[in-house]
Amino acid sequence: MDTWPAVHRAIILVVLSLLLLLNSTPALAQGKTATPNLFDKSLEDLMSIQIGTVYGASGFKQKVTEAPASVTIITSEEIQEHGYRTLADILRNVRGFYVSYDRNYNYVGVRGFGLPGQYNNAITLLVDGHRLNDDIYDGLLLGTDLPIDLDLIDRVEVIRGPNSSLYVASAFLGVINIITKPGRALTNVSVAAEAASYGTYQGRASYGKQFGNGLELLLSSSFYDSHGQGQLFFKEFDSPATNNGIAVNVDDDEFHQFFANASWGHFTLQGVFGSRDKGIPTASFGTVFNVTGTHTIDARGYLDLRYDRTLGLGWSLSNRTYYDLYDNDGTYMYDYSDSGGPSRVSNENFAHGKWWGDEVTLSEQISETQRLSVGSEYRDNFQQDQGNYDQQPFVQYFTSSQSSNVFSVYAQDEIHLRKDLLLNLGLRYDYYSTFGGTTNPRAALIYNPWAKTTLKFLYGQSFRAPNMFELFYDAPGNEANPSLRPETVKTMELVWEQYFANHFQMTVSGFYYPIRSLISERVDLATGNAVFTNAGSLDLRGLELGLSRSVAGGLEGTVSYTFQDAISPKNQIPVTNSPKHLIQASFSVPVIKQKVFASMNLQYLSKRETLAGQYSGAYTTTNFTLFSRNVIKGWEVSAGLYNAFNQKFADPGGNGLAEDVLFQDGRNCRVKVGYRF
Amino acid sequence: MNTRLQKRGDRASDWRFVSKVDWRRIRRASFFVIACWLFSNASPRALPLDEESVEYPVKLAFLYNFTKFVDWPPNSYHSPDTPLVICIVGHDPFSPDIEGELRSRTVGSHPIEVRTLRPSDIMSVCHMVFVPATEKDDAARIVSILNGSSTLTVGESEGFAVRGGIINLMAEGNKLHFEVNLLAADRAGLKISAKMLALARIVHDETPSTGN
Repeated sequence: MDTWPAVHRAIILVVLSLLLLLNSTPALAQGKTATPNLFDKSLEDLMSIQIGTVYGASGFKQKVTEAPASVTIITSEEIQEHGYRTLADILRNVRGFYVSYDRNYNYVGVRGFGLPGQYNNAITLLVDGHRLNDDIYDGLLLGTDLPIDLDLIDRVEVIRGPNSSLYVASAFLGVINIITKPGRALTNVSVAAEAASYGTYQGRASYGKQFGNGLELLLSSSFYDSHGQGQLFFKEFDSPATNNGIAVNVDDDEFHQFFANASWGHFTLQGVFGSRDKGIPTASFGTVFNVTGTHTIDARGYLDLRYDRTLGLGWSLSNRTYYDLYDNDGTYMYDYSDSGGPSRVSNENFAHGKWWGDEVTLSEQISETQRLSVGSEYRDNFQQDQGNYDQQPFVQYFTSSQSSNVFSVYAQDEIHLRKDLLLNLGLRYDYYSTFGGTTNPRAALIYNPWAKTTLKFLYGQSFRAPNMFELFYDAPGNEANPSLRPETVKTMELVWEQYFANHFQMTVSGFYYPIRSLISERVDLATGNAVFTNAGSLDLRGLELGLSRSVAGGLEGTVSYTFQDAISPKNQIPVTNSPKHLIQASFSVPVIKQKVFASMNLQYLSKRETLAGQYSGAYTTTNFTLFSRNVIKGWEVSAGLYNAFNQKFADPGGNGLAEDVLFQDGRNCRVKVGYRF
Repeated sequence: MNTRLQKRGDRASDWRFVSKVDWRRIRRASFFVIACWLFSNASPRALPLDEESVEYPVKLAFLYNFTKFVDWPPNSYHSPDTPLVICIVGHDPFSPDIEGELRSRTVGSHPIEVRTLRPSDIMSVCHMVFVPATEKDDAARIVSILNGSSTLTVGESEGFAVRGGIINLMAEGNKLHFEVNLLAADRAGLKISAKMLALARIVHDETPSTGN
């Protein structure tokens, strides 16, 4: 019953995109006459023109059109102009991506795969090439828990599909590569402050400098404090005993973050630390409703030392040594009075991880037509501890102290077969102490039949290793399963990228991803316990259409439609949180040239099935931002209105929640001011 | 992240949440999109270069801009209408159209002349020599040959400026910036204006022992 409105909305947006195209036709004829403009531009303007290169897809810098994947780049300008607050906000506007939120963590879905409660372990997040996924959940943090302030991001590269021939496992469905700004981009001292709905305040202070001796430094610190929604209604708790379903003042959120980057000569040292504390209003995992005290603290930090240099004769070498930590500490308030115990018991659940590793990459321009890269990585997860206990009276339910290691080698060869034909071959071998070895190939054929047309034929195999949580979590109501095998995927994709006159670009992509031995949580009917098993198969197929236009210093606009279909043969796995249709549109226009920008973006998701077999309805959210830069020298001001039409919508919940769907924030706003000294 | 999972109660109620279609909202959003579009198209700021081919046109515009900020010694021109010669070594990455546009420009009283040379050709007539990435193996040789002459050497490969080239155009992220080796400019007797240096990343000669 929900399909027709979906189709109607889809039609509206497709018509809009056509309007966009048609409207540009008169300008087509003017084509070349405006070329001189480029020569009249100042050096500053030239330095701000985007030429479109990407680093993540195969490790070294290359053009988007030559990347062996379908790639989207989000620049710091777009982050500012669209008033994005978190990485989750950014991803909502990336073609084919959608994000759901359970009032503690954000979950990203792509290509129809969005099983809630998986902690995003099918996607790898890199910060300047450093892997951010942790060593217990392999999870990634997308919301206020991401330890990087968005102001420090130069750009985000989103690479669809598995690139595990150059990256670590769990880049199963995609890689998100965050590239931070160099010190000189934030010269001297800069500060930012913002205030937003629900009693939310954020502040940042940064110092950046490039010294005469070549040392480049960036130091930054941010804090955030949010009271959260004062009242949240959950219909599952609508009884007088639980305050008629209203959770009062339990949605609080706060974090502090530190970032340091120093580069000198061939060396770059980066240090990151962030800690977030989030109150949980959903009474998840059977905790008491509407009490303060149920919350999680996620602390994530690392030190990363990189050495990059060109060795001459076409060789270049890169080495990375890192030390990482992740601590997740949750406190959950239980009521044991039914079984004769105390009415408030604080239950502690923890996951503590520490690891170090080293990665070496060597690449060689063998000839004008061939580039070979080889690499090796060793990672020692020397702490992978989990446990669960009651504080008072003390009861230890379980502890698990693990350690593991991973060794990988990989090679990639980029061969220009002809001037218009590029072959990219990759092979990667990983050895996990937990389950053994696995070899995965990748191949991409990139064909440029005409100057403005690129066709990419992509094939890849990838896997996701079972994580420590899935293997060993054994608290009451759960069961460990140390015999889990990795899940595997073969990915086939055909991408057509077409450039038109007047800065138009179109991307059409069709994909088929058969996933096998998918690790999924299910309830063992005999014991009533939740256990992870290699549950079965999930076939993802779909089609993405994107049309974008980007004029340097002018309009930036994108309209996209994604059809995605996730099917589990024989219904082995419930396919939840997987919308069939996705429509996304975003526009940014300069109101006063280079100074004031008006932006809007909207996301439409069709209905999604929930765990209970119901549906969360289709919705459209629309956001507006007005951003100004240097109207008064040194000042940046932005005002954002989010969910501007106050659309009521809900995301499907995951395991452990009494709520089948979770209603999301209505209309809210944010004002942000930045000043550079 | 996760925690103990209590046995799930019966929550498969027949409750259902279906959002109403709000045509008013959709229409409002649509109008905004159209308004944005019409508005944006009204103002003339055409730069009709698609993303794919923008890199080299922009680089050529950089070269043109450099001529405005660099002072060549007076003896490098025979007369006020002697052309300023920009030489491109080896494989020419610029399209004829945009090179033609550059040829129609002048720097002060000097018309601009663009020549393409082989790496082995004599370059002493050039005011500016551009060494494309494809010729980077020859870069060191070209730079050393031009050592002592008042020629502005511009490269686009890693390490070009630290190895004696004067300007190096580098992509950082998806934008271009440039490095200037001030000592090399001094050696060539070229004066680079402070305005341009303020935008540049200043680099120094790399000691030869660490070069290779």
